[in-house]
Amino acid sequence: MRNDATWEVLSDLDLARAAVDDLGAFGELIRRHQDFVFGAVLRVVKNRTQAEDLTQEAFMRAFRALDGFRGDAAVRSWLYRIATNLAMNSVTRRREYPSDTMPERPAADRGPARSFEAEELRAHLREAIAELPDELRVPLVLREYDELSYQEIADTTGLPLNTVRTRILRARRALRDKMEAWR
Amino acid sequence: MSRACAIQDDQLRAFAAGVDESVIDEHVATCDECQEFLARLWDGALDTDLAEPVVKAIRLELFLLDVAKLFADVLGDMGRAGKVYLGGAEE
Repeated sequence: MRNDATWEVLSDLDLARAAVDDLGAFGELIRRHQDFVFGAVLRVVKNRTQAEDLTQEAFMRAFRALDGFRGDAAVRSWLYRIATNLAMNSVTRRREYPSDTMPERPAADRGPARSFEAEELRAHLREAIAELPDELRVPLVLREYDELSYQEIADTTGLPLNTVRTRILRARRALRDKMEAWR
Repeated sequence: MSRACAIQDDQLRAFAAGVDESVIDEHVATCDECQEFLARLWDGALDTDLAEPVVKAIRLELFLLDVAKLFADVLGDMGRAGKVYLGGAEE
Protein backbone atom coordinates (compact mmCIF):
# COMPACT_ATOMS: atom_id res chain seq x y z
CA MET A 1 0.00 0.00 0.00
CA ARG A 2 1.27 3.46 -0.88
CA ASN A 3 1.44 6.20 1.75
CA ASP A 4 -0.88 9.23 1.96
CA ALA A 5 1.70 11.60 0.46
CA THR A 6 1.79 9.55 -2.75
CA TRP A 7 -1.99 9.60 -3.08
CA GLU A 8 -2.11 13.38 -2.72
CA VAL A 9 -0.43 13.95 -6.09
CA LEU A 10 -2.86 11.78 -8.04
CA SER A 11 -5.87 13.16 -9.93
CA ASP A 12 -9.39 12.25 -8.76
CA LEU A 13 -9.80 9.85 -11.66
CA ASP A 14 -6.51 8.06 -10.93
CA LEU A 15 -7.46 7.84 -7.27
CA ALA A 16 -10.85 6.35 -8.17
CA ARG A 17 -9.14 3.75 -10.35
CA ALA A 18 -6.54 2.95 -7.69
CA ALA A 19 -9.22 2.75 -4.98
CA VAL A 20 -10.65 -0.43 -6.52
CA ASP A 21 -7.58 -2.27 -5.20
CA ASP A 22 -6.30 0.03 -2.47
CA LEU A 23 -8.38 1.54 0.31
CA GLY A 24 -5.63 4.12 0.96
CA ALA A 25 -6.55 5.76 -2.34
CA PHE A 26 -10.22 5.78 -1.40
CA GLY A 27 -9.33 7.38 1.96
CA GLU A 28 -7.61 10.21 0.07
CA LEU A 29 -10.66 10.61 -2.18
CA ILE A 30 -12.84 10.94 0.93
CA ARG A 31 -10.51 13.53 2.50
CA ARG A 32 -10.51 15.50 -0.74
CA HIS A 33 -14.29 15.66 -1.16
CA GLN A 34 -15.84 15.12 2.28
CA ASP A 35 -16.56 18.82 2.90
CA PHE A 36 -18.20 19.16 -0.52
CA VAL A 37 -20.30 16.01 -0.11
CA PHE A 38 -21.26 17.02 3.44
CA GLY A 39 -22.29 20.49 2.21
CA ALA A 40 -24.39 18.99 -0.57
CA VAL A 41 -26.15 16.64 1.86
CA LEU A 42 -26.61 19.27 4.59
CA ARG A 43 -28.26 21.59 2.04
CA VAL A 44 -30.98 18.97 1.60
CA VAL A 45 -31.45 17.42 5.06
CA LYS A 46 -30.66 20.56 7.13
CA ASN A 47 -29.41 18.57 10.12
CA ARG A 48 -25.67 18.25 10.79
CA THR A 49 -25.74 14.88 12.57
CA GLN A 50 -27.89 13.30 9.90
CA ALA A 51 -25.81 14.93 7.18
CA GLU A 52 -22.65 13.42 8.67
CA ASP A 53 -24.20 9.93 8.70
CA LEU A 54 -25.46 10.31 5.14
CA THR A 55 -22.06 11.59 3.99
CA GLN A 56 -20.46 8.40 5.32
CA GLU A 57 -23.17 6.33 3.62
CA ALA A 58 -22.65 8.22 0.36
CA PHE A 59 -18.95 7.30 0.36
CA MET A 60 -19.81 3.67 1.17
CA ARG A 61 -22.14 3.60 -1.82
CA ALA A 62 -19.52 5.22 -3.99
CA PHE A 63 -17.05 2.52 -3.01
CA ARG A 64 -19.54 -0.25 -3.83
CA ALA A 65 -20.11 1.33 -7.23
CA LEU A 66 -16.42 1.98 -8.01
CA ASP A 67 -16.19 -1.01 -10.34
CA GLY A 68 -18.80 0.52 -12.58
CA PHE A 69 -17.38 4.07 -12.56
CA ARG A 70 -15.86 4.69 -15.97
CA GLY A 71 -14.81 8.28 -15.52
CA ASP A 72 -17.27 9.71 -18.07
CA ALA A 73 -18.30 12.27 -15.44
CA ALA A 74 -15.93 14.02 -13.03
CA VAL A 75 -15.48 12.20 -9.72
CA ARG A 76 -16.91 15.19 -7.85
CA SER A 77 -20.04 15.23 -10.05
CA TRP A 78 -20.45 11.50 -9.52
CA LEU A 79 -20.17 11.91 -5.74
CA TYR A 80 -22.57 14.85 -5.85
CA ARG A 81 -25.25 12.74 -7.55
CA ILE A 82 -24.83 9.86 -5.14
CA ALA A 83 -24.96 12.18 -2.13
CA THR A 84 -27.94 14.27 -3.21
CA ASN A 85 -29.96 11.20 -4.27
CA LEU A 86 -29.27 9.66 -0.88
CA ALA A 87 -30.20 12.87 0.95
CA MET A 88 -33.42 13.34 -1.02
CA ASN A 89 -34.46 9.73 -0.45
CA SER A 90 -33.80 10.18 3.25
CA VAL A 91 -35.99 13.31 3.39
CA THR A 92 -38.76 11.51 1.47
CA ARG A 93 -38.61 8.53 3.82
CA ARG A 94 -38.76 10.79 6.86
CA ARG A 95 -41.87 12.46 5.42
CA GLU A 96 -43.49 9.08 4.81
CA TYR A 97 -42.47 7.58 8.15
CA PRO A 98 -41.83 10.28 10.77
CA SER A 99 -39.90 8.97 13.82
CA ASP A 100 -41.73 6.39 15.98
CA THR A 101 -44.18 5.54 13.21
CA MET A 102 -42.06 3.07 11.25
CA PRO A 103 -44.32 0.08 10.52
CA GLU A 104 -43.52 -3.04 12.52
CA ARG A 105 -44.01 -6.62 11.43
CA PRO A 106 -46.97 -8.44 12.99
CA ALA A 107 -46.04 -10.37 16.17
CA ALA A 108 -46.98 -13.68 14.49
CA ASP A 109 -43.97 -13.25 12.21
CA ARG A 110 -41.52 -13.07 15.07
CA GLY A 111 -41.77 -16.42 16.88
CA PRO A 112 -38.49 -18.29 17.63
CA ALA A 113 -38.95 -20.87 14.85
CA ARG A 114 -39.85 -18.23 12.30
CA SER A 115 -36.96 -16.14 13.51
CA PHE A 116 -34.50 -19.06 13.09
CA GLU A 117 -35.85 -19.82 9.62
CA ALA A 118 -35.64 -16.21 8.65
CA GLU A 119 -32.07 -15.96 9.94
CA GLU A 120 -31.08 -19.11 8.04
CA LEU A 121 -32.73 -17.79 4.90
CA ARG A 122 -30.94 -14.45 5.27
CA ALA A 123 -27.59 -16.23 5.71
CA HIS A 124 -28.13 -18.25 2.52
CA LEU A 125 -29.29 -15.18 0.69
CA ARG A 126 -26.12 -13.31 1.76
CA GLU A 127 -23.98 -16.19 0.48
CA ALA A 128 -25.89 -16.34 -2.78
CA ILE A 129 -25.45 -12.58 -3.28
CA ALA A 130 -21.74 -12.81 -2.48
CA GLU A 131 -21.36 -15.49 -5.16
CA LEU A 132 -22.85 -13.33 -7.90
CA PRO A 133 -20.37 -11.79 -10.35
CA ASP A 134 -19.62 -8.11 -9.64
CA GLU A 135 -21.49 -6.91 -12.73
CA LEU A 136 -24.72 -8.39 -11.33
CA ARG A 137 -24.04 -8.01 -7.60
CA VAL A 138 -23.29 -4.26 -7.62
CA PRO A 139 -26.57 -3.13 -9.29
CA LEU A 140 -28.59 -5.62 -7.23
CA VAL A 141 -27.10 -4.47 -3.92
CA LEU A 142 -27.62 -0.82 -4.86
CA ARG A 143 -31.27 -1.65 -5.65
CA GLU A 144 -32.21 -4.00 -2.82
CA TYR A 145 -29.85 -2.93 -0.04
CA ASP A 146 -29.40 0.78 -0.75
CA GLU A 147 -32.91 1.16 -2.21
CA LEU A 148 -31.76 3.28 -5.17
CA SER A 149 -34.01 3.75 -8.18
CA TYR A 150 -32.93 2.34 -11.54
CA GLN A 151 -32.05 5.85 -12.69
CA GLU A 152 -29.97 6.48 -9.54
CA ILE A 153 -28.12 3.21 -10.11
CA ALA A 154 -27.44 4.25 -13.71
CA ASP A 155 -26.11 7.61 -12.47
CA THR A 156 -24.02 5.95 -9.77
CA THR A 157 -22.48 3.22 -11.89
CA GLY A 158 -22.33 5.04 -15.22
CA LEU A 159 -24.22 2.17 -16.87
CA PRO A 160 -27.07 2.80 -19.36
CA LEU A 161 -30.53 2.56 -17.77
CA ASN A 162 -31.52 -0.50 -19.82
CA THR A 163 -28.32 -2.29 -18.84
CA VAL A 164 -29.13 -1.63 -15.18
CA ARG A 165 -32.61 -3.11 -15.62
CA THR A 166 -31.26 -6.15 -17.46
CA ARG A 167 -28.52 -6.83 -14.92
CA ILE A 168 -30.88 -6.55 -11.96
CA LEU A 169 -33.29 -8.91 -13.70
CA ARG A 170 -30.46 -11.38 -14.37
CA ALA A 171 -29.22 -11.04 -10.79
CA ARG A 172 -32.70 -11.77 -9.41
CA ARG A 173 -33.06 -14.81 -11.67
CA ALA A 174 -29.64 -16.09 -10.62
CA LEU A 175 -30.54 -15.57 -6.97
CA ARG A 176 -33.89 -17.31 -7.39
CA ASP A 177 -32.15 -20.31 -8.99
CA LYS A 178 -29.59 -20.47 -6.19
CA MET A 179 -32.27 -20.21 -3.50
CA GLU A 180 -34.43 -22.89 -5.18
CA ALA A 181 -31.40 -25.19 -5.31
CA TRP A 182 -30.87 -24.58 -1.59
CA ARG A 183 -34.51 -25.37 -0.71
CA MET B 1 -17.14 35.84 -10.39
CA SER B 2 -18.20 35.19 -13.98
CA ARG B 3 -18.82 31.68 -15.16
CA ALA B 4 -19.46 30.39 -18.65
CA CYS B 5 -22.81 29.03 -17.45
CA ALA B 6 -23.93 32.52 -16.32
CA ILE B 7 -25.10 31.28 -12.92
CA GLN B 8 -24.43 34.07 -10.42
CA ASP B 9 -22.60 33.75 -7.09
CA ASP B 10 -25.72 34.93 -5.24
CA GLN B 11 -27.77 32.16 -6.85
CA LEU B 12 -25.21 29.59 -5.77
CA ARG B 13 -25.08 30.99 -2.23
CA ALA B 14 -28.89 30.81 -2.04
CA PHE B 15 -28.74 27.27 -3.41
CA ALA B 16 -26.11 26.28 -0.84
CA ALA B 17 -28.29 27.70 1.93
CA GLY B 18 -31.19 25.58 0.72
CA VAL B 19 -33.25 28.56 -0.45
CA ASP B 20 -33.06 27.91 -4.17
CA GLU B 21 -34.04 24.26 -4.18
CA SER B 22 -34.85 23.13 -7.66
CA VAL B 23 -33.86 25.69 -10.25
CA ILE B 24 -30.18 24.87 -10.55
CA ASP B 25 -29.83 21.48 -8.86
CA GLU B 26 -29.62 19.58 -12.16
CA HIS B 27 -27.24 22.17 -13.51
CA VAL B 28 -24.92 22.00 -10.49
CA ALA B 29 -24.79 18.21 -10.80
CA THR B 30 -22.86 18.54 -14.06
CA CYS B 31 -21.20 21.98 -13.94
CA ASP B 32 -17.54 21.88 -12.85
CA GLU B 33 -17.36 25.63 -12.34
CA CYS B 34 -20.40 25.77 -10.07
CA GLN B 35 -19.14 22.77 -8.13
CA GLU B 36 -15.79 24.49 -7.73
CA PHE B 37 -17.53 27.55 -6.26
CA LEU B 38 -19.59 25.38 -3.89
CA ALA B 39 -16.53 23.35 -2.90
CA ARG B 40 -14.82 26.59 -1.81
CA LEU B 41 -17.99 27.74 -0.04
CA TRP B 42 -18.31 24.45 1.84
CA ASP B 43 -14.59 24.06 2.55
CA GLY B 44 -14.23 23.29 6.28
CA ALA B 45 -17.99 22.69 6.70
CA LEU B 46 -17.31 19.27 8.18
CA ASP B 47 -15.36 19.49 11.43
CA THR B 48 -14.27 15.84 11.49
CA ASP B 49 -12.36 13.47 9.20
CA LEU B 50 -14.65 10.75 7.85
CA ALA B 51 -11.95 8.90 5.90
CA GLU B 52 -10.97 6.62 8.78
CA PRO B 53 -14.46 5.50 9.90
CA VAL B 54 -15.60 4.98 6.31
CA VAL B 55 -12.50 2.99 5.35
CA LYS B 56 -12.94 0.86 8.51
CA ALA B 57 -16.59 0.18 7.64
CA ILE B 58 -15.62 -0.79 4.09
CA ARG B 59 -12.89 -3.13 5.42
CA LEU B 60 -15.49 -4.82 7.62
CA GLU B 61 -17.91 -5.14 4.70
CA LEU B 62 -15.21 -6.66 2.47
CA PHE B 63 -14.20 -9.03 5.26
CA LEU B 64 -17.80 -10.20 5.74
CA LEU B 65 -18.16 -10.75 2.00
CA ASP B 66 -14.95 -12.80 1.97
CA VAL B 67 -16.19 -14.86 4.91
CA ALA B 68 -19.52 -15.45 3.17
CA LYS B 69 -17.71 -16.55 -0.01
CA LEU B 70 -15.39 -18.82 1.96
CA PHE B 71 -18.35 -20.29 3.81
CA ALA B 72 -20.11 -20.96 0.51
CA ASP B 73 -16.95 -22.61 -0.89
CA VAL B 74 -16.59 -24.81 2.19
CA LEU B 75 -20.25 -25.86 1.96
CA GLY B 76 -19.75 -26.65 -1.72
CA ASP B 77 -16.66 -28.74 -0.97
CA MET B 78 -18.51 -30.58 1.81
CA GLY B 79 -21.39 -31.29 -0.53
CA ARG B 80 -19.07 -32.63 -3.22
CA ALA B 81 -17.11 -34.71 -0.66
CA GLY B 82 -20.39 -36.10 0.72
CA LYS B 83 -21.50 -37.15 -2.77
CA VAL B 84 -18.17 -38.88 -3.44
CA TYR B 85 -18.28 -40.61 -0.04
CA LEU B 86 -21.88 -41.78 -0.43
CA GLY B 87 -21.20 -42.88 -4.01
CA GLY B 88 -18.25 -44.96 -2.74
CA ALA B 89 -20.29 -46.43 0.12
CA GLU B 90 -22.99 -47.61 -2.27
CA GLU B 91 -20.52 -49.51 -4.47
